[in-house]
Amino acid sequence: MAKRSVVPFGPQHPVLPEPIHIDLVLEDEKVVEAIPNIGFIHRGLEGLASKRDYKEFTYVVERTCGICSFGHGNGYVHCVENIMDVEVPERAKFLRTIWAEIARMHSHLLWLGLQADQLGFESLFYEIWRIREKVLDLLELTTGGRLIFSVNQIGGCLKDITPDMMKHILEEMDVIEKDLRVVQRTLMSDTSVLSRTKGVGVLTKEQAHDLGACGPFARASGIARDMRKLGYDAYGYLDFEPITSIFGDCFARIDVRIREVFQSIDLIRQAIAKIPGGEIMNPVKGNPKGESIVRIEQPRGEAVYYVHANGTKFIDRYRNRTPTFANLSGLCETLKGANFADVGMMVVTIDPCISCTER
Amino acid sequence: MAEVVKAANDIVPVDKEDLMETANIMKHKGRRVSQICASLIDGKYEILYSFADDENYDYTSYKVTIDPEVHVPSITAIFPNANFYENEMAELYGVKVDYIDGDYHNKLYRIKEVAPFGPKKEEAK
Repeated sequence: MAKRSVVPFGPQHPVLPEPIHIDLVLEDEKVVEAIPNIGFIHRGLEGLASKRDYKEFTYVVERTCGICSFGHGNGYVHCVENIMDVEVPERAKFLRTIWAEIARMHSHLLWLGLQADQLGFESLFYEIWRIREKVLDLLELTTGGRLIFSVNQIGGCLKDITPDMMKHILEEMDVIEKDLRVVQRTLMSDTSVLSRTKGVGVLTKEQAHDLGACGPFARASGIARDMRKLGYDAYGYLDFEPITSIFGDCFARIDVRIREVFQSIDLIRQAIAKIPGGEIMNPVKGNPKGESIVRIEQPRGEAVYYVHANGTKFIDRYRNRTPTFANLSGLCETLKGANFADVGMMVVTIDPCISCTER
Repeated sequence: MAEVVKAANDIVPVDKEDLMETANIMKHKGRRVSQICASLIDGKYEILYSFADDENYDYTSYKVTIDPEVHVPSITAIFPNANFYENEMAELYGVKVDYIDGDYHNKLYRIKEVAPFGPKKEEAK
């Protein structure tokens, strides 16, 4: 008879950049149940909404996480703009789209490096993070910040991207695309990578739907759902289709995310080609009153933002349902039946962002 | 130009007594739970149950308004993935949720304070 034991995974673990704890119930080497615990870095940022001016709160929202900061700011300002019926200038919509896609490239490349490191492929880890540095340089050039940008504000953007900067972005996109093709060929054809990821941690399309999975985690299981299709910001002007895979395993998640970086490069090129001139900010007066719920596509998937405002400068409620929180159910399901040795890699393949989850 | 999805995004009030039936209807329509959250507005809980239709991107949020001492039923029997959301609102806001399938009993979040965003004692009276 198999021996049953409970092994704690995290909150400190070599594969985890941020703390999450999972109690793994094992039968010999097989995981039969996974029970997560969060809250190690809970900061109560949602509660801070009622103590900050609603415009200043944009900067608090952006500091939820160092990887998804632009998306959080974008989701929050969309909510308030909906409530106040603010029309954002067309140029600002394109600027937001360009920054959102550069931030997505940054996030996916960061994750891809960690995934390569987790697989023991250290030289590739260095190479991927070398490419990521170019992306961070572009963010620094256009916003002044490498992780927290503070360019979003209710009514538009606080900074513009000059024609020279756009030319430089396009040149860098060519270089990044070329370098990433080499990474893609290397990673996706490596025997060790294939043996460790193919057929491992499968989440079927039905499971992904029933468990509310989102983002690349769901798209790797065949769900063609991408909130950018809602057409917010300038996405309505751009041509793209959600990138999916039918396999639902760890390999499919790597494949989908790499292809999404190429998709981001294409979207940035399209946005720069179509960006109109004009104002970047529509000044906002008064205070918001009402409620709004907004969904945007963060690098890790569908993020939901809810704002309830009472007509004063302090809002009643700000809610942020992050993609990682939604993906916890799917992760626990895929861990059931997994080999204990694969757990670390499987956790990394959902691209967990615990700072977002903790808020 | 890409085809932009014209999707509904509504917030609909619903009575607590109709919550389970509403969740059942959503399940039969093939929707998924996108999020559940509680808010404390003017001394009452406003709980938002958001269901997403992945075919046409429609999004409906049902709002249940209750007094702090009133219990709400769990919808985990219909949507298993609701358990993290229900545990979250129970632990952070002090919402009393009955019969959660996968109840963490205040152990999902490793925080010392009980219901940090819930009603303070004088508000709860």
